[in-house]
Amino acid sequence: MSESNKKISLISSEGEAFEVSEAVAREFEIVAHMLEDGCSGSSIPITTVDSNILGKVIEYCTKHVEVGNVEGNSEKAEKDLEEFDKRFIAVEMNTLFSLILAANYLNVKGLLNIGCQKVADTIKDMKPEEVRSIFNIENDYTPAEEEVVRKENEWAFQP
Amino acid sequence: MTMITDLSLDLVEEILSKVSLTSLKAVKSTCKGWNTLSKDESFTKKHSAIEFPVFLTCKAYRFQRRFNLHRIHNIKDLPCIKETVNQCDGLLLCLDEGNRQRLFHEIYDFKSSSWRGNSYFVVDGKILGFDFTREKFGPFLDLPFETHNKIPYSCVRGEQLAVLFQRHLYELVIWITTEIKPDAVSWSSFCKVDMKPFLGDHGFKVGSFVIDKEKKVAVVCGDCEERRDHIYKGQCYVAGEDGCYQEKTDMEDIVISYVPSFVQLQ
Repeated sequence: MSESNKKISLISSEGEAFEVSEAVAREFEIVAHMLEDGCSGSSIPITTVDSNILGKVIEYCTKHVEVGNVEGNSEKAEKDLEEFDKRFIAVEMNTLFSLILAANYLNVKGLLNIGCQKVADTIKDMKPEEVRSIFNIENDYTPAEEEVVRKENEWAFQP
Repeated sequence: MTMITDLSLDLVEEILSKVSLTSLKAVKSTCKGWNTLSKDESFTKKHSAIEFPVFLTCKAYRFQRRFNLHRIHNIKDLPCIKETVNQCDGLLLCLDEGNRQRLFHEIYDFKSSSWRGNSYFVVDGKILGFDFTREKFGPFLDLPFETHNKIPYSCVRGEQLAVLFQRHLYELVIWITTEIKPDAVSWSSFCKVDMKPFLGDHGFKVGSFVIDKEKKVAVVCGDCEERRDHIYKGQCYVAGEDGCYQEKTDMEDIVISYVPSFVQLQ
């Protein structure tokens, strides 16, 4: 069996096995390092990531590996991939945070990047009160302190 | 259920560093932790690597735009820049869409993805410096002469600023800075040129100029007016204390000056 067809099982925190090609598993940098360090076992436990999220991360990596393997017509492929990424991260906030945590742990840089960007874009046009309520953050400012911070951040020059 | 509070500080920093600068005030006001984080040096570095303010000049108008580099892979992806004219040493000259006459100047060091020092503008007879590190304008600073007209200025070797004052139509007086910071400026006279022998009865309006410090000459570009209805655009003179040395015509598209940006000398 050639290298690229080799299958690897990734085991979620619930013990569920996800069989993927080695190329997809290598998208998880943490797995790539394990394989390089001679960890030759065909099943790798991913104990901190549950089945739902692991499934999604695998879906993301599979798509990116597929597109990476297609030769020619790269502009269209890039566009498709962008569209895929956009749809992929159009999820609820708690799922998004889980994806970010998983991408960070598994070291899937592309996913980590688009995940963080999505959260940043959500924050972008919000007032502080909205940011707090969406992200469930406690306001630890007194009204006077908040006023000081607000004043400090009044821009001399708006774009 | 995973919340943002479950994320490590590093991840929160990663996220907040992707929030555009203009939206950061909401971030800072959200809670004390985020405010502290946003002032952290590593955060600022991460942030300024992604987004930066840009000044664009279009004849008399100046704009400030913020570009997010994060999703820009090619300079041509920048909004409103359709054609890159010239790029060297971090200096980028761009043309506006559809109109070659409108020249945008942009000074940005693409290699290090950061702004170099400060930029200066001449506004209503005063100098205004913008400190890119602190993202703040300095106070209005004095020019070496009084005027409320738009005056030409140029950058000398990326270190000094030169301004040109046109007195009685024929006399050109050029000053150069001996020191310039966003909050302080001092001047010395560079040269005075009497254009009268050269221009005769023609009027001359300086558009832009550059100077050569060692040779003590200026290349001055502008429009000549013979009669009210007859204007020669793009006249270019090489001039020094002794008068003009050389005249060239139809140089409008060739001689340009750019908005100066300075390496901060500290």
